[in-house]
Amino acid sequence: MWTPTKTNKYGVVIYNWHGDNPYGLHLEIGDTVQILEQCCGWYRGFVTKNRSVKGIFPSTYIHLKPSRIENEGTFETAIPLEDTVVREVSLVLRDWNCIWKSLYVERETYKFITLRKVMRELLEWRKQLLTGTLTQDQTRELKLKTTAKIDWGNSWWKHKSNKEKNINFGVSLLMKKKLNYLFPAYAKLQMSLTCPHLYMVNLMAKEKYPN
Amino acid sequence: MSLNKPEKMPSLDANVVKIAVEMESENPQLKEFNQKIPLTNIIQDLCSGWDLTDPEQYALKFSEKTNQNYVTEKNRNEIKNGSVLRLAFSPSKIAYDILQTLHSEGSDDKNERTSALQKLAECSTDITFALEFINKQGLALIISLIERGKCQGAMLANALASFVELMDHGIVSWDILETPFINMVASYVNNQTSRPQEAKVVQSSLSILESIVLNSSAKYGQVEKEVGFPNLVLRLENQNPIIQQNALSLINALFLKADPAKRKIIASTLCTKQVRNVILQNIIQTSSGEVGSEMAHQLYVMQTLCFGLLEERMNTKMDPQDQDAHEKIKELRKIAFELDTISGGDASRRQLSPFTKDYKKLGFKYDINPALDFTETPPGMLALDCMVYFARNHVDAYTKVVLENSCRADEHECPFGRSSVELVRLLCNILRIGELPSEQTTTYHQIFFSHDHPFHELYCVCIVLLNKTWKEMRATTEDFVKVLSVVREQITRALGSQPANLEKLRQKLSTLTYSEITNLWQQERTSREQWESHARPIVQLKELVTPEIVQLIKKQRLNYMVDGTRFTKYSPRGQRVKDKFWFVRLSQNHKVLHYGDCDDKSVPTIEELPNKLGVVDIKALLTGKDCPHMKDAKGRKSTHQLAFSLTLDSVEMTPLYFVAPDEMVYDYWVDGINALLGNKMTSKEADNDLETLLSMEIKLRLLDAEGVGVDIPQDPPPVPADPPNYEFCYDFK
Repeated sequence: MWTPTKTNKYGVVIYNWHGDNPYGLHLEIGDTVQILEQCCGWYRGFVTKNRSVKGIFPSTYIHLKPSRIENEGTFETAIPLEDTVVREVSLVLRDWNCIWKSLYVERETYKFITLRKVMRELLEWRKQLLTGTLTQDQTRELKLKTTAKIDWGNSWWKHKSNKEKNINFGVSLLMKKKLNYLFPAYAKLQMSLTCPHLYMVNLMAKEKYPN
Repeated sequence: MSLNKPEKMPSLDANVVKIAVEMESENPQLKEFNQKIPLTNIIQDLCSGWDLTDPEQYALKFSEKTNQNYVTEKNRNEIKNGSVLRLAFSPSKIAYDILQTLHSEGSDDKNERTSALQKLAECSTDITFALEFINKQGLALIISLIERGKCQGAMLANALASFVELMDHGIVSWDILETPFINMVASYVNNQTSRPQEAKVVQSSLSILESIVLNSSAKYGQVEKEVGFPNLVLRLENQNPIIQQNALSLINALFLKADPAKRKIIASTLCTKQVRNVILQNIIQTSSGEVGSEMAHQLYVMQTLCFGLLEERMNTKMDPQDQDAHEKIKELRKIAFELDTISGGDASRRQLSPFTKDYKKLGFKYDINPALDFTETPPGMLALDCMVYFARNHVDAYTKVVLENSCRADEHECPFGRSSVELVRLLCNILRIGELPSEQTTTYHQIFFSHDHPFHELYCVCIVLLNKTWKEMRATTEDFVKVLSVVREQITRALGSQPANLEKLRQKLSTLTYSEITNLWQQERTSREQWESHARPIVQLKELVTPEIVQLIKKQRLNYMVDGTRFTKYSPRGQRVKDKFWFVRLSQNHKVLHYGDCDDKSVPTIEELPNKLGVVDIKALLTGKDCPHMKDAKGRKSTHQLAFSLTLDSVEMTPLYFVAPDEMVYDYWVDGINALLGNKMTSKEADNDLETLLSMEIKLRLLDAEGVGVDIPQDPPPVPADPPNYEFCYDFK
């Protein structure tokens, strides 16, 4: 009997799954999946980067992660309960990766190398935030450093662009969308379009001093 | 029985193995040994081969270095092809002969009886013989021999050794032993003559008493009464390591089986400086410096039992009526805040301020009633004991720790009370206090034999460490868990280095700073990541992603060719033509190479390049020395390394000869042309680019698989059986 999952809603793939089984879903290690229903050791769901393709896969191939559900039912969305800054770094890095690869194709060697260095730094800081061995003070500091670096990177990228205005707006809009997604509760707040990460900094300050 | 290795002539019957049988002063027999035939028949057969009458007096024995036991119907399947067996007197015959000799008390030949006992001690290690001997009432005879005290010297040693061996098989219960026997054996332990032949007697006696204590609860009192502790301690000073070891084992057995009250008495004896020193000097710090594994295990057991005494306090909550405990809390306050004001003279103001304020400074969680801080178990009252011990015995360090943290106005103070409770809990956990000793462990800590109150002293060292680490981490009270995880790492690593005393421990800890621990953790993470990057699923992912990345490199190379490059002209003989250049570009649609002469500055557009070469017309790409224009080039070596040429299908057109200005240009062009021709890009640049782009891509793909708790498996996880149906709840059509 296939039954909707109650708590097992979201996870990361820990082993490549060919998907050659009936109704199978091809999975690559590192993919994140949203789980809809389960039956006898199998899950049915989809890879979050492609919601339209549903399929089944062994539950043993998934490491579950905590999440909360929005819009419960057929079209529900699982939102991972991750540290906001960690999540932000992942999203930003994946965005930057596209830019970085185009810098490569265009042979913008200096910028390519610079961006790579910054990306590696962010990767390392994200890792440190994840290990959970930092003290509160260190975590706070590292988060500030991280968001500042993201801001720097975004403005640097904007600066670099020839089609400045469009991209400028584009990146900010992207950021805004993302922030709305990350913090729906704050979505109604008026946000500065020019420097969304200042908003992040404020948000963190709020986390620390709720009042 | 199946044969492991296929033979040239396969034996048809898997039950038959080929063996040799020897016998003293006879020629060995080669035999086919059939596992299906009863042993008695086989023995009969062998006897007739050697003309032996009475085959029932013989039995087969294994003849290996590690195994000389009798062959029985149970263990005969251990016989393999090529085994060598020995025909010898049967257990029954030997047992009978030995008993005959021992019974004939009249016989004056002591030597005969001694050698019978020696034979007995040797044979008794084999359970087949032991059973036979015990069935013939042999054990009772040995017990009475020992009990009546009639044996001496070598005879006694062999009798005792035989007894140990016979009992070792667990055939007979230890409860059968009576008081006279125990008293007699104990007397051998107490008797401190040190003639060499006595050593074996003492060894066996200690071992027998240990077994009695461990296996016969009713006889504990008797053994304990008969063997004085001082006598056992004296035995620890013996130079014979087996005597030391057996004495320590007996001490541990007495300790382990004692009732709680007795246990405290034993522990207090063991913890005295005198006993500790005997152990340190005679066992741990010997000239050879080596401690055998059985001895190490006994030292571990002793340590575990000593620490076990802390269990009671560890699991005791503070009783609100416990006046003594309240006094101790007050004492903590007094030592910290009053000693320095006695001369200061501001005592009146002090007394006015409520103690609460001081308790807050002491870092108690419940500053109104610190007794509540000790209601959690573990560590319960043990924490208070440690704190008071620290305050009384290390006043300076204590006041320093407390005052340092009570004067800070920020949130970075390390609360002494709370951190002590947490630390003692941590130490109890690290040292596994309250657990029974395990059978296998051989890790003991010399450091705990170096002090009367090793646990409390360890706490004193570690509370100072915790404070230091706290400061290094700039921690706040929110960070307790994290600070403790670092402190745990520091303590386990320092203890792991086996420091000989507290000072050495302190030194070791001082090198394990917070930053050192973070470094070590970082190293562990890196090596884990390295290991993971070779994990199968990740290697698969790399293979999956590589074509995508190769396309990217190809695109970059072709773009580069579209932008074009200026080359220096070379003659077909490989001679550089001075100040002559030519320019080559790839068309936007990647189908035609346009080229033509140019000067050293201009960048001609595609329209300005008169000559064309269709990519389809290219026959092959030649590089280096294979190039026609480099065939007989004798010039500078580097030239031919940067040379490449395009040969063409049509003979009418001349091939294109290139010499790149540097390696990068060379790599880019060779990659690009290979890409155009549908070949693999093989340059060093291409490898580097692939590595750079691929490693970033993989890192980013695995972002969500990072972090605590996610383990990348090396092998595919198990796949369940197909689901019984595909009638899903959610329908998206």
